[in-house]
Amino acid sequence: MAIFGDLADFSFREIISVIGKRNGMLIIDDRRGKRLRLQITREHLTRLTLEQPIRQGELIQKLLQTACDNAGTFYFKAGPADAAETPPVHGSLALSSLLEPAHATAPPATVLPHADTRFILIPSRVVTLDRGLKVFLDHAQGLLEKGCSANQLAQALHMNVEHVRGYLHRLREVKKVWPVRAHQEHGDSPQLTEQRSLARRLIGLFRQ
Amino acid sequence: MSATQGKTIKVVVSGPVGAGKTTFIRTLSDIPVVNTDERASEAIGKSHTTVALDFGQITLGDYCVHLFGTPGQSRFDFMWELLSEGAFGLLLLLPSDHPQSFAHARTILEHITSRHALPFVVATTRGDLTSKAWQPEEVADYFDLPTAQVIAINAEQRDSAQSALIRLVEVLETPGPDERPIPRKNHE
Amino acid sequence: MNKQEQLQATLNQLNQSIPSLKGSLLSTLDGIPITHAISDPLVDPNRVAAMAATAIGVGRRISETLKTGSMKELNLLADDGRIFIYLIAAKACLALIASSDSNVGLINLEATDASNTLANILL
Repeated sequence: MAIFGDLADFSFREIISVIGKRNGMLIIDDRRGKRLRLQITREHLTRLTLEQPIRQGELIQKLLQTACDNAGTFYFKAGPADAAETPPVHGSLALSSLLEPAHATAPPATVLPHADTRFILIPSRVVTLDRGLKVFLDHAQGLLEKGCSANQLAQALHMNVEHVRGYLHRLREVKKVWPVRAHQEHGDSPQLTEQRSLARRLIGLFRQ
Repeated sequence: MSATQGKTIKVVVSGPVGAGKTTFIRTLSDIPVVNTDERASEAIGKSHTTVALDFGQITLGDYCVHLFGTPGQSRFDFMWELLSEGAFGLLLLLPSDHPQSFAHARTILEHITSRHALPFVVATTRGDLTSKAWQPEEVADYFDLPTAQVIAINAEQRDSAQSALIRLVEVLETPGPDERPIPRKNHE
Repeated sequence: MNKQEQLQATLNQLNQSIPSLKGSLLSTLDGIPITHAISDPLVDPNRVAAMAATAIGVGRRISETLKTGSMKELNLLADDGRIFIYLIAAKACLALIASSDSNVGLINLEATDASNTLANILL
């Protein structure tokens, strides 16, 4: 098992999402001398270790700014659940409470969605957004309900397409928009039925 | 437009640079592969890179599977779409030891599948080279996919490479939608 | 003048000698722009470079497979223009975008000269 990477390529939210229900230790290294070890048990943070003395009075949120800032690596080591803890326990903290609403800093360009990838609004999903993102969503809502791309939104709203890609990325992070899958729009076409029957014939060949 | 012409099936092989797409097609192809490799002018960890497509072919019973490999870099994104036209399915190759390329892989996947109704499988490569590699179920969680849609392969080994094709066919054989707008997750 | 400046000067000169030329671009064979002289701000040089490399890549394979020797040049004729792509010293490609009423003979002459100049600079 190895869930690892660079914080420039994965947000803290994504890391926690991939870890999911796994128990173990998440190690965050800022490559400048600080290392954070987060003991994770049943989706709760049960123990936190910092390998550098901290000034008195610093809050856990401030420590985790190391996690949210893009300079460092992470490594998750799966392990057994901490037997003594059954959440929610006095002294442990639900991980989800540490996740901030979609934050204001711009993600690196390599993780932005393609300008022609179409996204659709997930109306039932309730999220907390910062002001800038909320304003964008108010303007883009109508188009996103039908499904549209960054290029289409930029044109319709007279905005810079790079800014729109950034907004869509942040909305996607909190699952308020999701990429459109072409076959969900077209439903069970005759092509799909034909492909399925072809698939059944091929499976037979592979299994010989 | 049919994805099969008589007994020919087209499969697109895409993914970030260095995932092993060209290698994968070479491993599987019954015929010499048609490459369009050129000297890489950037440091991408290898000397050559695909600038148009790779083409290979594998025969399965009465069926002829045409494999089309795309270039990985964003500047060739017009080829991702072009090569996906009329395809039966998509294999997205991913280097499991290079998580820095995952976000780009996701961009490719979403770009293609939001324009073409293609079933797809994510095939993770290079896991045989190092233990510091993402496992298929971990990659599935990253992409918010059911674990059945992610498979680890060795692109240089024929049986292993073929298992990615088999998984693609299995995914298509399963009736009902294989993706949901919001994947099953307990967070938030 | 350094190499970059020399290459740029050659393209500028080419644009000047051919009035119907909308733009010229020199790119690596893997699709990265080296230098360009494109007047239209809506034309993305990165896109042109990638597509020129793709076209050359395909052209080279076709020429090899059909045994017509080493590919030198590709011509594309469309309703609203023409595109010429030349292979330079087996390490770069020169793309010219011209209007449909271009003088093909003149373009070929000037492009051949420019190709030789560019090849010498690059070698």
